[in-house]
Amino acid sequence: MRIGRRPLFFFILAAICLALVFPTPSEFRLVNLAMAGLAIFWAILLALEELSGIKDANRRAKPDQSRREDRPND
Amino acid sequence: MNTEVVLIIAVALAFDFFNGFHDAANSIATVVSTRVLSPRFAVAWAAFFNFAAFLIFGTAVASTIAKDVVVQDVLSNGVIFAGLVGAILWDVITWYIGLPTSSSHALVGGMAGAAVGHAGWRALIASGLQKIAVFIVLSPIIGLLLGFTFMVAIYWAFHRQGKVEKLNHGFRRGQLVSAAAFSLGHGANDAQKTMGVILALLIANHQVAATASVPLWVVLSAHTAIGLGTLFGGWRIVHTMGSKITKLQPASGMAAETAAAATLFFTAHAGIPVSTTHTITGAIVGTGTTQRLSAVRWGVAGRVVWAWLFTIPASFAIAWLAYLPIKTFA
Repeated sequence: MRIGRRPLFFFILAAICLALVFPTPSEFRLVNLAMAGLAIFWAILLALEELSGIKDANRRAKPDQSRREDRPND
Repeated sequence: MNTEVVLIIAVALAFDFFNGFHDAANSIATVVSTRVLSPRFAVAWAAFFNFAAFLIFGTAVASTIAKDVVVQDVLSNGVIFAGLVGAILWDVITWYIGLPTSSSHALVGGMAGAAVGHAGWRALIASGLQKIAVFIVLSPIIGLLLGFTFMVAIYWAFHRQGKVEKLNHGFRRGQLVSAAAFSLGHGANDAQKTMGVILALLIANHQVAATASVPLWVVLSAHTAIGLGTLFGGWRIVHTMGSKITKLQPASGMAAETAAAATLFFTAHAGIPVSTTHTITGAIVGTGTTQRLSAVRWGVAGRVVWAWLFTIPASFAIAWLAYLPIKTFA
């Protein structure tokens, strides 16, 4: 199982926001945390979308394979 | 007020004018590239809202520029003039080669460079520069994440609507509002940087008290200068922002502008000088990312990032060099 580039991209954004928490002035740290939360949220959703997409693709592929198996002379 | 102060104020307003010319193109890039408005109307629309921003926002960003970048007792006419020269020259160079860099960071770099030329590294206020540096990175990320979120919300809300033409018509109208909001944010953020420079100059010349807020005539003249600068526009940069980073549709243009406007409203309110260019670029990339990562032309976006990285050091160096003859002959 391989995570695609988009979830990874959002995970990296989240990591940058979290890495900047320490140098950010304390009154603005909530911004970093909120943005990191949003990035993680999208990363997880995109990862789930990709995983379900792979399952759908497998499901679509199976009937084709079974049809081929029915016709061994093709 | 002596002639020298008046001349430096004129240079600061010229910088503001050029900032409008250089940066305000971002306000209208998406509206022009999606053909919601003709370039001429788009420019007038953005200029009006650049000016109107003074009615809505305070002057927190101006205070940060005037009081949180360079130690007050280091500020002099020569330092402020050399800082402006550094920022203007860097803006001219990047405008000529069509790079959307940040006039704001050029100004911060310029002021810092001239101040270091005058009094060494002790001239800089670390906490103020740290806040600006953090938001150099954060502002495009906020724009990107909000742009992506707004775009997904639009897809989610309208995915059952079959009449694409009708939808696009609605989003074109919506873009007028989002472009206006972005121009308000741009006016609030960028005009205030010039106000900050003028305030610093007035404080250095004992024209106002060190704790004073920005005088109304400074507010009005800065907004007028940026509005006029926008009217004259910078079409090279419109082209880069509007079409080269990713292909925009009315819906994505609206989402990008709304995301960038929200970011700028927050930073203007919080007194953080951020780059409008960084913010709108992040938001445009965010809307492009909803398609797929390859919908974003990363080569162009990367070139923009390199320009950003060079902005503060380059304007710092130019201002430092510009201050040398002033230091020698003054």
